[in-house]
Amino acid sequence: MSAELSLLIALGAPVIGAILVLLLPKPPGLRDVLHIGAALAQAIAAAHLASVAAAGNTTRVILARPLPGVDLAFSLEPLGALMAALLAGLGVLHAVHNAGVARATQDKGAQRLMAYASLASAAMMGVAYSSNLFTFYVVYQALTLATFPMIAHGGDEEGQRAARTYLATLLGASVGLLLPALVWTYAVAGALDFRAGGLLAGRVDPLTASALLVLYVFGLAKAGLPPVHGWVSAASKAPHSAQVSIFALSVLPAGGVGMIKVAAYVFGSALHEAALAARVLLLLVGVSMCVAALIALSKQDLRERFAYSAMAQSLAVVMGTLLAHPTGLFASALQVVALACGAATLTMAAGAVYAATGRTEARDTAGLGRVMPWTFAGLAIACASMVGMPPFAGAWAKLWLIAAAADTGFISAAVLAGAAAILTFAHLGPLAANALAGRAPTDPFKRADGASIMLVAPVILSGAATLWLLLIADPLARFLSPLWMGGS
Amino acid sequence: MALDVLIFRAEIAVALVMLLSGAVAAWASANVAKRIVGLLIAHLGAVLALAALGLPDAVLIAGTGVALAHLIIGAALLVRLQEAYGGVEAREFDAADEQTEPTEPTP
Amino acid sequence: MIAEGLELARINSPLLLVTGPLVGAALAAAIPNARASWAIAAIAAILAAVLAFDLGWRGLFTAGSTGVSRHDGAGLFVVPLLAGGGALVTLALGALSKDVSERAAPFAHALVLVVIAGWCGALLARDLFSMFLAVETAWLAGVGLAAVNAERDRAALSGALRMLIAGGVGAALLLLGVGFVANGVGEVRLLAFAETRIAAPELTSIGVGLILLGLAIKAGAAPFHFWVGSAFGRTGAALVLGALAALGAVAVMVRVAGFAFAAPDLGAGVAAVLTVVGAASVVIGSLHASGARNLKRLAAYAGVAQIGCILLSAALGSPAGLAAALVQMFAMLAAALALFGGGAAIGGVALPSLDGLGRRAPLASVAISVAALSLMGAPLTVGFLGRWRMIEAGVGVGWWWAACAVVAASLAGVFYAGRLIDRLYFRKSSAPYVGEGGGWRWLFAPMLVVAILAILLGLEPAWLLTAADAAAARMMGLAP
Repeated sequence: MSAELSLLIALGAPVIGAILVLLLPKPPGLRDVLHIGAALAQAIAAAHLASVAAAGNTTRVILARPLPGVDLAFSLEPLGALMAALLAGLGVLHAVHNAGVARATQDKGAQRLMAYASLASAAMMGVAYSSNLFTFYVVYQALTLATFPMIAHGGDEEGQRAARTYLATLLGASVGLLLPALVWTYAVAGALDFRAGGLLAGRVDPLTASALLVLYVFGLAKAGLPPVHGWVSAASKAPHSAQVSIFALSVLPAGGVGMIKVAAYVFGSALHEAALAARVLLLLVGVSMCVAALIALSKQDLRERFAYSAMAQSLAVVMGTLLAHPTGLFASALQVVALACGAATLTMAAGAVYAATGRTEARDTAGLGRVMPWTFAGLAIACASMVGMPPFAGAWAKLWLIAAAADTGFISAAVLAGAAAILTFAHLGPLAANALAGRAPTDPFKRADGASIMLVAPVILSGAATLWLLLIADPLARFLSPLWMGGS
Repeated sequence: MALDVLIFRAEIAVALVMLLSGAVAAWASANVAKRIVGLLIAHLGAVLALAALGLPDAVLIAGTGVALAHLIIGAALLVRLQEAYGGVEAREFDAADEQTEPTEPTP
Repeated sequence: MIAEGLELARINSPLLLVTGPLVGAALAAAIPNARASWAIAAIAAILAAVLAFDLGWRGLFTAGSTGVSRHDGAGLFVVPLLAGGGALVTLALGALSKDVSERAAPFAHALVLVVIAGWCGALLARDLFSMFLAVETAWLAGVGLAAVNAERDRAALSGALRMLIAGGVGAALLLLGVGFVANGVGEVRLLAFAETRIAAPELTSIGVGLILLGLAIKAGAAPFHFWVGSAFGRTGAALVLGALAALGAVAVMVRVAGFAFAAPDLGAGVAAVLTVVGAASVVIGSLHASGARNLKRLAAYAGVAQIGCILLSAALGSPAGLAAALVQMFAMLAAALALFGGGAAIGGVALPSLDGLGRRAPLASVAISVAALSLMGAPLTVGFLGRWRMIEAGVGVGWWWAACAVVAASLAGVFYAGRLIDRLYFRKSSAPYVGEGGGWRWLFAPMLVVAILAILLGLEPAWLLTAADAAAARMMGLAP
């Protein structure tokens, strides 16, 4: 199977899957098979592409030529290949989980949620494989459009309002801030390609670089930096299975991957010129991480708590990229991996709990760990990873982040990251502990047979995924090295 | 010589005054008939200015023709408006139209 | 024999493009039967479109003789758009018979042809005075069309009156401007700007400024936009006016500006006028579109905002700027055909009537949505292409505000156009669907399909960009 074909399958299979799921929603078994099948096809293609990238090869697919000199093009490079393979793999687990939730809650419109999740997944693949800023912008917008209907899925007034807030925040930030940044980059550099070593390297003075950095960081609202973070609370009103897609598999990772690509391939060494803005932004990011973790502490609804928790983790990604150091970029990449695995586990666990017991509040989960042991074991692992406890993925990411902050002299950033970790422990730790150690509630389940395997297995498997980072940290560093080696 | 220039400037001035006052009357009046007359005055002012500038007769005649066309169409609209609304004040039209305007209900 | 006749037709195509539709109009008006008159009008419009495309093809892509001067680029680009759009609109009029009384229908068909003939004539005219006459003919026919459904909705009369008054004042300014230019340059030939020395530069500048102001009033650009809302909002001919009249007026403005830029004395004044009017139009058009209460007003004010961007592009005064303006005109026509056409096909005008129509009127909903995307400047649409070219051109001469204007227009577009898509697909409909009935409904299809395809040209726009660049080069006198 050639690399081009794999790329097309990785991008196209979820789209086809979405269409098929919408066309053939009954019987439910067929719908589930189509949904999971599409996710599997995507994962296999992405895995193949990752192996191609590991061998040092690359490929390029051009879908359209909308402007002279600017193509709608997708290509293979280490960061994108890694992210795509990871998210596609988690996507298979999510597809299975989605099917389980649909069966357990008897949702009549489940095929729409599945279709939108598939489309979001396709857009996320596009983000990972985009080879220039224009393509990135197009799929970034497509991702917003694919995810906002999920928020209004419940059909009630509150959901529709939340969906409109979500859309307004993300579209407003991307058209008002990201698009000008794009245009300015084009004016300065004459091209929009992602170039190793930085498209803007050597072409910008400090003022321009700082201004551009500010535009990009706030324009990439999906990374979750205040004040453009309003979409997070809107998205936390979405159904549980939609949250997996939004916070773990497509929207937050898109912001993170976008930040890394911009920092590595658009700025490159020019990031040093933007030190002025970077300092201020780092402080903002650090403080926001702590504030987000605090807000998560105050939320009782599991969806909202996990949403803000994920937002805090995503801000750690931004922090890593702003440090303008290879270690920082590596830390950010690891953090995206940890974020995806951890957030996926948390949100899928919340979905499993809701589907099996109908409970959504944190205080109601006390003791549930005794009747849903696998689910809460996965949740506990994910909590540990998000907090940054070894040997889970989050620990390595945080470690490299603090090392990078120390290397570049931003001690304040390191301190704030540490504080955020403590606050994360505060809002996740007791949750896991109470669930596992408390007294088991009588009659928690809505169905006699408890939570089905389709609900539970993905949770524990994605929890286990946070462990494998331990094994491959070193090869990963070599694999990702083109991120910071080109030209600098 | 100086008298010629003076007359020329006076003609242009008169033409421009006609043009401006006609335009103002056309835009600002509430009465439809006054608006059409204002329009006619404005057009005639323009034609006068052209005459003062010494353009060929064909241009002047055609310009007057356009003015006449506006007058005729305006008169036709005036008659139809009178039939439809029973009056010739713009305020009445607007008020009546507002009532039948398809609007968006408050959410 | 036939080949000779065709060759004769080709050489004289500018003249034929004006007289042909006029003859067709006379025939259509003379026949009392509405359907027969529509058929004649449609045939005339299609023939004109064929001739126009042939003219444009020969002029822009080959070096064939066209019968227009070598400086005339705007006409070569826009006349095919006008004639093509006119043919599609005339076809679609066959389906709008319920809006117009049996008595008025032949006149409506005739007036549409006169509108087409008038604006094409204005774009192909060799001298300013003929241009003035053509503009006035087209404008007065437009006024007549605005009142065409007066028997069903008397508010159309009020709108037509506003249009007449505004256009009339514009005509007076236009006439005065033409006179000043004739006096200042020494003759009335349009091309004289580039080819002779100007005897009285200030008078000519004032004259050109007056011409542009007069045309701006007719285009509905801000701050002369007050007639747009009421004229478009209640007329049955919004489709014709929105697609053809607005495009024609702004195209004539760009044509005059293009010629004026060739003369060094006049460039600065022209640029200033276009900049002010353009910027005001973008802001005011976007604001009004955001507050619009029905689809026709929204589309009309969105057109005003687009006109603003076109004028700002033209104000740049470079071939790149003019080419960007031409591409944006293409985008404007496509969006107008899709929005007004989709609205006419659906039949409802108030925004709530759009709720949930995504399923029940699929083609019209897709057309409106695609037009909304183009207005937002979503990438891969031709609207994005036009705005991108404008930014490129602006950055090329150091005018950063061009980028700001585009971003502002796009943001506003996200708001008001996004509302359309929201209503079409994400709301449940509350009222029973009263669409256009009968088999004649299919006459909307060609227009909607062409509009959708035109907007999606943003995916692979190479020939559009080539045509626009060739036309702009001609206008600035750079073509061989």
